Amino acid sequence: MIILVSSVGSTRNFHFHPFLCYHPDMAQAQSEVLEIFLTSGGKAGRVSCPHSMRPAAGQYMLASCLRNVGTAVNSTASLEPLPVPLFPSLPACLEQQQAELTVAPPLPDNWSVGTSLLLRGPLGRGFHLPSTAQRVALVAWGTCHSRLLPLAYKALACGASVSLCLSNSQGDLPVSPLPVEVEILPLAGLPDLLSWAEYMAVDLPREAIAALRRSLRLESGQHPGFLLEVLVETPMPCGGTAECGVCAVKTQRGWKLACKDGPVFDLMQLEEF
Amino acid sequence: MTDSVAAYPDFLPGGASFSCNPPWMNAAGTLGFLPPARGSWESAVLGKHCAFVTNPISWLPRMPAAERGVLSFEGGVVLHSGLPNPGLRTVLRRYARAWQGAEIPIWVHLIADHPQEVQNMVRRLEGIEGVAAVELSFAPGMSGGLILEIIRAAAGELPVVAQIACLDSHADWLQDLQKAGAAAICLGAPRGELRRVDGGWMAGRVYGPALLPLTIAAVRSLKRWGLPVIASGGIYRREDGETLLAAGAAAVQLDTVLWRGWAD
Repeated sequence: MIILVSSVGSTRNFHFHPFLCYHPDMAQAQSEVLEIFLTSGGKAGRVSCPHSMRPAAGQYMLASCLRNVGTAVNSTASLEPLPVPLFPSLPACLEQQQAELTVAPPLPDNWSVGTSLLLRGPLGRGFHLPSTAQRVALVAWGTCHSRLLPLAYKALACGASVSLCLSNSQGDLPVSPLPVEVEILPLAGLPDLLSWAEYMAVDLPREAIAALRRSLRLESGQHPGFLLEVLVETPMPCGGTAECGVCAVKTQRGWKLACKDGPVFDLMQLEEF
Repeated sequence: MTDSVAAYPDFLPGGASFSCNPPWMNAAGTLGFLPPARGSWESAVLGKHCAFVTNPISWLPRMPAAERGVLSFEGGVVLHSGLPNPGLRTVLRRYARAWQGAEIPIWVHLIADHPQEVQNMVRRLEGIEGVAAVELSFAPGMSGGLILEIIRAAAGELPVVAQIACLDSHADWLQDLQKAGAAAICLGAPRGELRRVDGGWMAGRVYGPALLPLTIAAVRSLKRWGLPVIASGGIYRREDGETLLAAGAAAVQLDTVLWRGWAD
């Protein structure tokens, strides 16, 4: 069965859109790039996406370019051989249209408005924001903070105070819009957040786990006293299809795959390798 | 008439046989250890296929590589994982029963390091219903002499498919493959290196559309040894696979297209 979902109107005011076909059994849909914009983390954008496939904060979709604008139908020259993980950077309630997804950078350089995509997802395990957490700390460790934004909005919607630690390496490019209620701190302020936060979420490269522990002074296995989750930045080429091991993360319960078991993990479960 | 699958309806290596019709299958390392479920994404991309090839399996468990990752270049990627797997004993405990009940033949891909080790692995597989062939891959830089020795050690009840990289398709020792007991040649991803942002180098398997001409050339070159050639590399449209069949491949194996889906 194929359900057609509009990307330009609500389900009540239905419009046929040729690039958006949703296959409920396979959780895949054809899509297209609607907008491209530049952020501190590189190219970000907006794509059409059925609402029911929308990833939660920390989850992702895999997107494959079917055809780039301006290339011949039979040309594979500019196609990526691997799918690209797309993370949401806005909550659903702030999207311009219901069937759209604003996605965090980086997007491939050769994607442009009109590029047709195949989406698969949602995949992986996202953040688990405790409903009781009233002081939420977010940390973008050397990466763009866009992947943390849906969590920021969710926490604000729950009435929590939100602080965001940003690394100094994010350059001079415009950053993704932040809610005015979010307090911005430099990364140097991270240790102070430990005594304030009731929940912390960190977006960081896999190689930086040890550095995060050092920065938080948690090297010797001390527990921060609250849930501290890490969105591990790593290539996830197969999305769990092959268990290829590229995204493997060592945990106290053995090797786990970021693509299936993550990409969000409890920091206390992670080990360095 | 092209030298397509019609020329190789069945392989007949020393009494053992297997079919390559329809001439499509997955490449090792692309779909895990079990055939994809009906109706799944993977099944839809793979389409009708003649066999399922397992992830690479070693005698002992292998951990992920310390410097695992993916680097891109114009035309492809270099992927390095270290081929992590739980080792043959655990794989058999987990999956052998499912292989017995599989609807399509299972080709078990073995990481071949040492003749005796490979022989032990193959003997354990010979008694398992559903296993139709073993596919062997060899460490980069392994000598042709050792590869032939391993194939001789593996030869037995199950057809042996020897995986080589397309860049090795002119090696002299390939002329002895059939005599050593190989039933078919399978092309695997070539090795390459790229520079990481930190200045270091990452070696790994190369995938991408840029490989298609190399794969075609390898198929046409390897045909001369009289063994069926199973092509892999650079296939991102169905037409790419058809081109390889027309070039003489007995079948084609799909790699990362199974993760990304077919291009238009």
